[in-house]
Amino acid sequence: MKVLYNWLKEYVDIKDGPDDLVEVFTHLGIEVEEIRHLKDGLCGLKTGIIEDVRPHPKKSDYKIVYIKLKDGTLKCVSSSEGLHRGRFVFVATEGTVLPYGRVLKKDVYGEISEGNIVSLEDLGLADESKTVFFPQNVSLETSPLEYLGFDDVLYELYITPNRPDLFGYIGIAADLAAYYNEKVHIPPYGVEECADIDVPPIKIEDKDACPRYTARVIEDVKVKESPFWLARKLYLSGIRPISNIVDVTNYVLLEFGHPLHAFDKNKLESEVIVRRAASKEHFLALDGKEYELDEENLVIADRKGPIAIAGIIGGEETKVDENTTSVLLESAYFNPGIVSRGVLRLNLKTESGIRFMKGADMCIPPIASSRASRLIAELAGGRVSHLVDVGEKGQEKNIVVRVSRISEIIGEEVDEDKLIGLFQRMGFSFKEERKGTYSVHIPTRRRDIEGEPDIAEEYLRYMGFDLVSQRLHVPDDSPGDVPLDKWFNIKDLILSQGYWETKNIEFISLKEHEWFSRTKPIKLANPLSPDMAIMRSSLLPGLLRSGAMNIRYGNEDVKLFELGRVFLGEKGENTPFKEVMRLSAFVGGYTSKTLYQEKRLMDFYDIKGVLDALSHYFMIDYTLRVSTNTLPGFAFSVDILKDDKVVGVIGEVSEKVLKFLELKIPVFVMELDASSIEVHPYKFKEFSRYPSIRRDISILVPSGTLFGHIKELIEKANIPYLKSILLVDVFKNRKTLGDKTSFTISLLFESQSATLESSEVDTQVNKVLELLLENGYKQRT
Amino acid sequence: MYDPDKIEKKLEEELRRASSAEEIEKIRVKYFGKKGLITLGLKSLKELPLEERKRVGAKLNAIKKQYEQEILRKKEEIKAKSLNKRWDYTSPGRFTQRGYLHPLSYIEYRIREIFSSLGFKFVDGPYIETDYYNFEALNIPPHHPAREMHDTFYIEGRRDILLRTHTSPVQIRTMEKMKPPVRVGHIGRVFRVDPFDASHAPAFTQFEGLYVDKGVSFKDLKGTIMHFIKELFGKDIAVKFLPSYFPFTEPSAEVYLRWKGEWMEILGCGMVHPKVLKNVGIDPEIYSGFAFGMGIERIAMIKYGIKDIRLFSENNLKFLKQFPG
Repeated sequence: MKVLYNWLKEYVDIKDGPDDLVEVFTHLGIEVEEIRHLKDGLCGLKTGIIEDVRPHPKKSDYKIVYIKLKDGTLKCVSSSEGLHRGRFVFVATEGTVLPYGRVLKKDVYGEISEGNIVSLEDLGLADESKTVFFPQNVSLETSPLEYLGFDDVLYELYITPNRPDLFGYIGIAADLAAYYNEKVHIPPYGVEECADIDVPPIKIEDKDACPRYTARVIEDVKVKESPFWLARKLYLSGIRPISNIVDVTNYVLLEFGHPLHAFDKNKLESEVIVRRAASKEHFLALDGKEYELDEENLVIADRKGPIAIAGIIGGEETKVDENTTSVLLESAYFNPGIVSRGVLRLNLKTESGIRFMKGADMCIPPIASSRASRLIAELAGGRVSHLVDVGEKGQEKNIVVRVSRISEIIGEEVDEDKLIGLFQRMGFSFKEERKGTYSVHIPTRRRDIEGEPDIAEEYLRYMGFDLVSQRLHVPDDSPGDVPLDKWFNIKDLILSQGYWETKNIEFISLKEHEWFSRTKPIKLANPLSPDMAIMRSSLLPGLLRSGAMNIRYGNEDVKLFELGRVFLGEKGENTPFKEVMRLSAFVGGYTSKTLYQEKRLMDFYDIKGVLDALSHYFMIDYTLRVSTNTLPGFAFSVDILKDDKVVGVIGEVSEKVLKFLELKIPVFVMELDASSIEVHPYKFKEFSRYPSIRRDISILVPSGTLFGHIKELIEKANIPYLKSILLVDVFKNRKTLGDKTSFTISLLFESQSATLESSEVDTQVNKVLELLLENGYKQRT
Repeated sequence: MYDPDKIEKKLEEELRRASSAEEIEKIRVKYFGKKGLITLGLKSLKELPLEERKRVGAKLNAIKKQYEQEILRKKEEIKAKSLNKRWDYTSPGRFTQRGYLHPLSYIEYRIREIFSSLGFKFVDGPYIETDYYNFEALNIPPHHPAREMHDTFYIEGRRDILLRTHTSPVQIRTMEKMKPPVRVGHIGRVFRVDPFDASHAPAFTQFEGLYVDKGVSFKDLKGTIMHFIKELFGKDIAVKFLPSYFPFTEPSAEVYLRWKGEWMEILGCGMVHPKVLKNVGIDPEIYSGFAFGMGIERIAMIKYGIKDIRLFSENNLKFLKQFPG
């Protein structure tokens, strides 16, 4: 809501200056989003009288204008019409800042122009005005800023949805009046009614959607431009001035926060009907657009058809124009729901629609109507009819307020007299029912007040929150030490492996979804863009985007992870969709060359290390199996299984994904259901007090043999004392080994009861070698 | 003539000059080796007359004791000197590079720490919600003007299913299951139809707190919030409460803190609206409570001086590497 300081002062005595008023607004919970001093940059604006107008020697469409100011004469070059000797103008002299920039002396085809003769557009008071502005009844002594009302301040206020009453000056004035302990000056709205004027019959067909409708006729009006003071106020409030009649309805809208509409009565067919639109009923609105309506829309209609979409916009066919002589003035109450649906369905956010959507005051229509009629009579002449008022009258509201309850809510003893005094200033009246219990009459303006918590809020709003002391309740059973959660333990482990935590946006594209999931995509109805159209079903797309970005930015080694939520296209328990936690990791790039480490391209074993770290740290038995049905996002992938159930995947990202990510090196990812990571309750196991003995053996296997196969073979043989089997070297050499690969395997032996003899270990190693030989794997010598 | 004093003098002199382990070893052999001067001297003692034997013997043994030790000491000294050259203590050490938590995780854990110690239990809730939990149960019926404050993402083909616009649905889900005293916190993502710019993101993180019991008042709300802010931002921080509006709290307030000379809005809070309590079957005449919510990104931005919210989801390593544990 745009509010002018001086205009606001017409309704309440404001004891603070425009800058200090910001503090007051803030204190009252009315956020000031912007404050603009209208005169900023305009000190160089001067009143002048045209002394002489001569043709430009080189350009025929320009004139040279000599303007007499209070303190000298100015030469301007202008192409505007209507510049005659003796006319007063406002001139922006050098240095003045106009909306399009600073005014400078300039050379116009060889003639120096020392300033600009301003138009309303130049002053920011019109969208478009080709002609110069000619002030009326001025002298050289007139201050242009004063004349234009620019010694004023414009606030942009954010009005919270619970306070529709603040969408009008009088509502704001009432809040300030209570603060300053002043009275609101309600503008005069009495009007002389002429009994001889007929008002068309009003028929409300849908009383839920339109509980109250009032109408008045004003005859013999003269439609013309509004006076400057009115046009200026509207324009600065963001409403384009149109004509005196229309401008008055908007002026009253800004004053009382209540929208009105004026129809050309002579263009109406006999009666006014408030009804639902018919399906596919067409309507040409004032904005020049044609709308297709349906039963969801409420319209004002005459016998021929709709003449307005109720509470939102009027019709082109019944609009007031320069030939209008008789006006039907509507002041009604429309249901917020019906107006909301209309505004949203037609995507038509008008000043009127916004106010009805938030809930108007059902008691105000007759007052707003009288005020507008009075102003129309003043500005356009005319005779005013009586008021036809159909439907409900609006109900007075009373609530019960227990002062003790207000104290309980706030936590401090509330001063009863202060409380009552404050609310009386706001126009509430208190009637004591029992000691400390009141029946409170609420002004109709305050639609938001429903019960005691609202009264407590108003009390705090005016008195300030400083009156409330602080109390901190720490329950006896509160743990002094905070147990770290499971997710933190997992993150801590992955961090220790050199991975950086990322948090990616939960939106991905359909393409990315299909690359990494087989679930049904959860699509957004209103996505911001196609690449943010699907709720992520995997963390991999986001992680890959982040990883690729970092590689493209020149990071050598990129190791990232995310522990986050994904959304599966099936119903969850008590939730619309199943949501689960996943742990994903990404590696790509080169390990950096350091003093102790050579540069190498990171690969599958790097990402597998994450899983190994998890199984090692949390003691989880994960097994791996080549995916039988690889997802399109992978060139190669292995399923991670736990208890024979697939719980994740590790793999190398496919060529098309790399292309999409603009990557030229392979990258590797892992994704795991975080629920598969359990922190086991550990049990102590007796350990051997005797030294273990390690023996390394090298065997030749056909290239391509999986180490896991060899390991399983040895494990199954249950070799005594053998405690662990570790692959410590893999060696390939076409020349010496041909198509064989050499595995060096480290065997660790240990006894629970004695120090192992070397000969005993030899026996066991030989068993292993024999076993391997039986299976065709020779020892490499 | 075998003169122990002369030998000692010479030994001392040679030892003083020696500068390498090799030289010292040579000296050791020369004097204390099998055929060393002192060794030989000791061996030939028996050839001396008794008186002389005693004197020279004592002397030689004393030299042996003193200088064998001296040689050891000197050897170590020289070794240490050479080691000084061997270990370039300015070269980098070997260590495993550890990653850092995302800065939002730090704030999250800090908040959990502060509120856990006040007895708040942390609970969870879905990000894809029903209209009922996100709006209706929180006193935001259809066409309520407050819905305008929440530009909502909807799921295609489902008018009643949406991405939650705030963490407050967790209040309802919790109170449906748990009866007072309720003291819970929740941290998670929320979504608004806001294109990315420096101060807006379509997905961001919120922290929600709820406390419902007998006799809970605005005074408790204020005490809890003040405690939290001082724990997070320091004891001397200036804080102010200003009136605000949320459909699910009444009275409602916004809390600002003064940070680097400017008042920054940090959280919204209020007393749980009686209608919300009624919606979950809690009698507002018996119980009352407070709730509050805040954006974690906003807290991180204030605390770390970050000007662009997009940095939190961009995951640039140059950003992530700035927030050590």
